[in-house]
Amino acid sequence: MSARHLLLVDDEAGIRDSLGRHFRLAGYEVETACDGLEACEKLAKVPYRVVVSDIMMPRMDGIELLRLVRQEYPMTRTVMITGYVSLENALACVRLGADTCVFKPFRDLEELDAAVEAAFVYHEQWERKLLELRGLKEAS
Amino acid sequence: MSSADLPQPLRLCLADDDPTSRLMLRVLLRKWGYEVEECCDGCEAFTSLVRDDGPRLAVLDWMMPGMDGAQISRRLREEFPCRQYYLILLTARAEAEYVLPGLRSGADDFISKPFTTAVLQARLEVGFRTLALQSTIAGYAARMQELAETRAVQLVHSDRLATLGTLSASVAHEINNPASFLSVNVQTLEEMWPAVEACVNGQAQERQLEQARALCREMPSMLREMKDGLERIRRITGELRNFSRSDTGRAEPIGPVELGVSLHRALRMCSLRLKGKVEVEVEGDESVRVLADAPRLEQVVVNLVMNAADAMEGCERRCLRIGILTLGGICRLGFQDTGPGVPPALAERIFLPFQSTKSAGQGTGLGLYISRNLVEEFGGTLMLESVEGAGACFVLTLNCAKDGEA
Repeated sequence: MSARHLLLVDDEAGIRDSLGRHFRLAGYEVETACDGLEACEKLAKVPYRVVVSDIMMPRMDGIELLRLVRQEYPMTRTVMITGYVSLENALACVRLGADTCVFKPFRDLEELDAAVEAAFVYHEQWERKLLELRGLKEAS
Repeated sequence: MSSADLPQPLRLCLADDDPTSRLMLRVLLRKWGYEVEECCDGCEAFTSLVRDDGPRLAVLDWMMPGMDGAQISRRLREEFPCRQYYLILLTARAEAEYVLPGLRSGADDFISKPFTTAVLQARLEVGFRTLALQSTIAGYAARMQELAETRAVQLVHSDRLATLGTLSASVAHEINNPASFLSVNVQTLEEMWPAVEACVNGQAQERQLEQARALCREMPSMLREMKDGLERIRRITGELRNFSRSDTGRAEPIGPVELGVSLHRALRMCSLRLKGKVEVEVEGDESVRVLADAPRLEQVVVNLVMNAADAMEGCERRCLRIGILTLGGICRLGFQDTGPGVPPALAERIFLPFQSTKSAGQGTGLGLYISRNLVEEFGGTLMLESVEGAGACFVLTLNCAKDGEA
């Protein structure tokens, strides 16, 4: 798996296409899923480091997906996006440890870009540290 | 209340076939200030009374050629139920066997001969007073009717706005999604534009050339997405405007509406409420054209769909099946949910106003009441066919448009 590989989950094709393009042009590798269930299937094959997910989706919504990611893939960072802002949803995101929740319609993509970038940086830092520790272990 | 409220001078019809009696009465009546239309038989009296500007109070002799007093009374009551008449019968006999049939025929009063002039004068005063009262009451009734109609129109509109309020989150979501991909694409273009400029100016570095190529590749799909997004936003705002449009009075001319179009438009308005929570299945021929007013039909459908979604809240299985069945010029539209159903006690009252099961602020309690009225306005019906424990099924019937109706 390439280092900068993210999973984009939204039931809206237009958003998958446009946001997917945005991230690809920014140098990320992007895989998409149209709802929580499809995202789960893809996560089971590849443990993506960053998941960018919509909240309101059929079959399995973003909150459920977030809960599952927390349980099954503790290292995966999550950034939520939503067009329907409710306190209930925002609180659920906080409680389940999403990095942030960005509101559509993304007047400025900087917030989302920064959140995704920070999520990858977080991973890279840990990986470096783990590598160092492993190196120490091997050396000792 | 006095007879001063009636057009002056007070006019009455005097019908008697006996010229002597007529003469005596005429003299008296004129002396008392009344304007008298004299008739010498029943037919003449009837003709005089049915005229639009004819007298409304009549002194009718019981026995007359042509039509007797009781017959005149009966026909006036039967044929002009909305008009106010005050009819006094004159008779030579005062026994109950005469008086009762006379009153039952529709006469208001009864004077038996011989009578004193004071009695006649007093009875006439009562008659004109009664007529004045009736005309005042009729005025009030007309005003009440007018007010009720105005209120009904306002009520329908305010219920629609209330529905719209509950839909606002849905609408915001529907607009936010297409706005999102427009917004993302615009920002992508902004980011990439410097690379394109550099290429045009012949100063592009390798990375910029790469970006410009990527943009060229992506441009057709970006434009398509943006057009789609704009079209979706335009459609939603158009639907909203239509939906919240104020009613000017009675129903619009009722035209054929393609059921599927209205149905899906209504479902789209509820989409956020349904998404991920309620499964909606539409079965049957959606192309059927029904007689309805599209915004009102959509108001009804939104109401039924939102009710079903509310009813299924917390249920294991949440499925709304909308079945369309057309038979013999009638289209039957069933909304079957998998909720707990309607308890029989509530089922009887469910179409009455202010029967909300929702907590304050969540419903006006008018939804089904207004829905039924709306549907009846375009000749349809709305009923509940619920089996307790098997979910509720609201059935909407509409008349199909006949072939050739534009």
